[in-house]
Amino acid sequence: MSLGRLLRRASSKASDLLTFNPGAGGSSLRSGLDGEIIFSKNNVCVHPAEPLPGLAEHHPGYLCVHVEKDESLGTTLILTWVPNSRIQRQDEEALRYITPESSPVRRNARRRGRRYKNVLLKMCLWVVYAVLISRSAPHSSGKQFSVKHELKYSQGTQFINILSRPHSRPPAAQEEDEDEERNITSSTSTESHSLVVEAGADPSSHQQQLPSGGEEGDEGSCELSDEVSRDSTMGSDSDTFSSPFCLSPVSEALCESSGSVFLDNESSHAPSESSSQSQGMRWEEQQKLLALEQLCGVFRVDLGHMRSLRLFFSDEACTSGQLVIASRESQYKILHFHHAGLDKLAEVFQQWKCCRETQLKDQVSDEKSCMQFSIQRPTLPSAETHPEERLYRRLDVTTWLRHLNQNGQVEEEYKLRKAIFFGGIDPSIRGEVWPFLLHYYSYDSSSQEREDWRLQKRSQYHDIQQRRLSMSPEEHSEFWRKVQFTVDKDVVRTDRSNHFFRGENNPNVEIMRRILLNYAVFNPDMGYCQGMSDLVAPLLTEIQDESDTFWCFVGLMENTIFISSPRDEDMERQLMYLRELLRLMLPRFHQHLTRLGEDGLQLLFCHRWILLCFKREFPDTEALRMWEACWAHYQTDYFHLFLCVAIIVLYGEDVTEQQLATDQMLLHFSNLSMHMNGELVLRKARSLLYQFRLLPRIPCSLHDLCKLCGPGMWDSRYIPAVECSGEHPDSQSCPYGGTSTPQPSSPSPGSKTRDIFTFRKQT
Amino acid sequence: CSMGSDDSYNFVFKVVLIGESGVGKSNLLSRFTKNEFAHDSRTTIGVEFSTRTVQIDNLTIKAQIWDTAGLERYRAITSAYYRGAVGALLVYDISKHLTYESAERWLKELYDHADPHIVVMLVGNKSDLDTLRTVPTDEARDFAEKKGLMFMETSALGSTNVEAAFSEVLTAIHKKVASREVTRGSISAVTLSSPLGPSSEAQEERKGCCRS
Repeated sequence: MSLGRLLRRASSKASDLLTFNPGAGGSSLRSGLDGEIIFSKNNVCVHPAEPLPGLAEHHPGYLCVHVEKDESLGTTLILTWVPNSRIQRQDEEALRYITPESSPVRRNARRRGRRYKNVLLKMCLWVVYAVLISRSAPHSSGKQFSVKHELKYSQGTQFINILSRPHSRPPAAQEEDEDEERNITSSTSTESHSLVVEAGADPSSHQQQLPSGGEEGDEGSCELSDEVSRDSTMGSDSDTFSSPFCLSPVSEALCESSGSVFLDNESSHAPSESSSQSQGMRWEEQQKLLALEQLCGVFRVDLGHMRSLRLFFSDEACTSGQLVIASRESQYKILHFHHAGLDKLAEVFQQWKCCRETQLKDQVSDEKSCMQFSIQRPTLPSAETHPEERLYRRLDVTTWLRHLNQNGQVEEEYKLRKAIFFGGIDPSIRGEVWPFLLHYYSYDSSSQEREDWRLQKRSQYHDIQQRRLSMSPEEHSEFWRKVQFTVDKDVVRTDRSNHFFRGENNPNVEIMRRILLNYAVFNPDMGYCQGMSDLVAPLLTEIQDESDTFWCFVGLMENTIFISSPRDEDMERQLMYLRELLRLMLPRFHQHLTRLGEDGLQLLFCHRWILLCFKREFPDTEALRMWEACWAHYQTDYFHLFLCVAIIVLYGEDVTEQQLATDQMLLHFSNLSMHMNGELVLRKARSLLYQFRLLPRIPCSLHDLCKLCGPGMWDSRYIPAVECSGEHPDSQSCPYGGTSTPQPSSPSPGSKTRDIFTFRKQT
Repeated sequence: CSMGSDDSYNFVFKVVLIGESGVGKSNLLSRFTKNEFAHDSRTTIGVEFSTRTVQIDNLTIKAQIWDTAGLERYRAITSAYYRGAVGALLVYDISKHLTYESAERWLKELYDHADPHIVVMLVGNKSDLDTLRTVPTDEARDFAEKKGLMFMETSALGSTNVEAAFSEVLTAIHKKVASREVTRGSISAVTLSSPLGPSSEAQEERKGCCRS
């Protein structure tokens, strides 16, 4: 029989085993095991929302759905899509994604050799996975099984197959793909292999779950063969196409548990050569790949926390099409199933108890072209806390290292930023992580590149310092009057209770002084503003190195919107946004401010909050958590304003209750400084941001609040309906002078998916 | 004057502290309102104020002393800061001539934003640093006279003249209020303690008034 059919049978059996309706099938096995993979499909495509020049439209990857235990949902499903490029790099990170934490193969995750240079091994892996899945099902516990197959496969014919297969995509893209495919064909088509899979010892109970050859016709066989060949399209260099990323752990797991042999397992410990591989890759290609990974990186969501799942079938058989995942915050992701398998996924969703199939409004009853599932939660998440609260722990050394690949590059910027947003950074690694958040290091940079960069920036810093030290007497006199006079006074009274700056003649005070003076030389327009010393002191405390701190400070001043800025309009904009947020989220308080008149609306009590990002309102440990959360730019660029609203929500009740006047209000909040609970404020602010993102429409005045932070791993940006609030000076010319319907930022991929933008209407 | 109860008062006087950064405004404030002094007190960011209730001529006066950064950059803050102020202490550091030189500039800003009848005192702070003095007392006194300002040298560190400086300013304000020298518009500011601020009906005296 064909391997494709074998695999298909195996995976469909595997998913058939796991239904999520308790009682269905009559035993406990239906609830699913933690870490179990219940659906997997290769060559599921992601199409970048904004196509990159020179890169194909299709970006195939491996899709996998596994079970995870969830506190509130019982079991939940985690959907992961990993681009093939990552898999081909033998990326440990990718392995982690595809192989759930709790899965037995994880215990032996180690860097693997790449001795098997054949795609067939990857196919075998799927078989082994299927075996593992069926093995781990509860009803099989205590029993052993054995499977032995000989697989023969010649690639050449399969390539012809795929090349002649019509695709539902534009001719141009198709040609590109075909070219790639031809390349691969020439490099690998001559190989053919024979593989033996052997596992377990007891054939009695499970043999039937794994197909033995020739049982059925050939229907479906080409599907997976195609997958395999498509699989190799990304590997334009045959060397990069090495042993499958998690072959060895699987084989090891099998060896350990049953003593069976998976090929010659000695080979699985061959040393990694992937570093030389990456060196061999041309630089531009690498850059392209990195750019691509930003657009089409790993996508991983907890389906239990989504709003809905929609399946749009594009063929008559209803097997191929698109899966559209919509988050509760109304961002969406489209996964393209060009090679069937969507029907199987539909079955998985139908069986999962948290997923309820709902009728689509516009759907023609006799045409099953579309399925919609909405996620039903046993308990609705409380609006008081962000539903993803407590899913993230503080980023410590171990978790931080997991974000880095072997070259020291941050694999997924979005994921890292999100983790920091929720969990913060352990103080021990702040000095290492902050430079990324402050845009001193790019997330793409390798450890080596960062070292080079530091040296380069260090010499640049010394040049700046030289410029300061070689001023003419006139220049120096002006500089002294405008900058140095104040800096000298301020540095000696900044954070002196911090042990890092404590004591007479502490050299670190002098370093802080030099950084601030040099900054004024570097950026004469900005010069020195009071408050800067408060901002630079914690940076120096954590980063310690003078030049690095300087450049991080430069990044802080350039890339954050909320800090000491010498311009009125920046502060005015902050206050305007804050007023609008209050109007939206805390109308009672806003009404009170309005009644107080102009002085009330000046929000004097929170100027310092904004200027120093809460440094004077909370002890350092909590304030720095807030800094990190703001720097993470997660879903908004103005998280500090949500923190302001959170403080007012939590601690401002007296103001409205007692109708406090402007001065009393100022006193009320300044008395609270250092007496508030920072963790509580952070949690509240996160939930406020969540609530904000759920709003069906927002006033035009707040349109920019979530603009720059980008869509992250989602296809869509944040596209709420915007309506003119009519309360701004130029509302006459407001582009939202009427309720507008949201417009997609990118061309929608097809008429069938266009209505995804109406998701938000659904409750 | 003496410390009084915070709850009951006849007047609220808003007094602003102005002057260059680092001249000791915040320490003058904390010395007067809390009898505290910090050697390495942080730069003031944004706006802060503290109150102290004092007795003048058998009247209870709540002094509301406002403090801001010497280098405040936001017009928005500036106007709110000066609005309703009936007194000001223009502070310089007797050991730093540069801080004295800018007094004229501060005066201009003050008169640009505040009531023209505002009571102003030029305050030479850090008189404990007499050995490092760069601003002669006579020079400053002459300048004050010329500009029609009150004048005093203080030391927040040594607690010298702080009480006297504030008390003189508050008394002068009270005199102006009592003699109706202050215009109708300013009186509402004097009693700015009504819950909804200047926009509500002003009361000249709120004897024994309590706020919850």
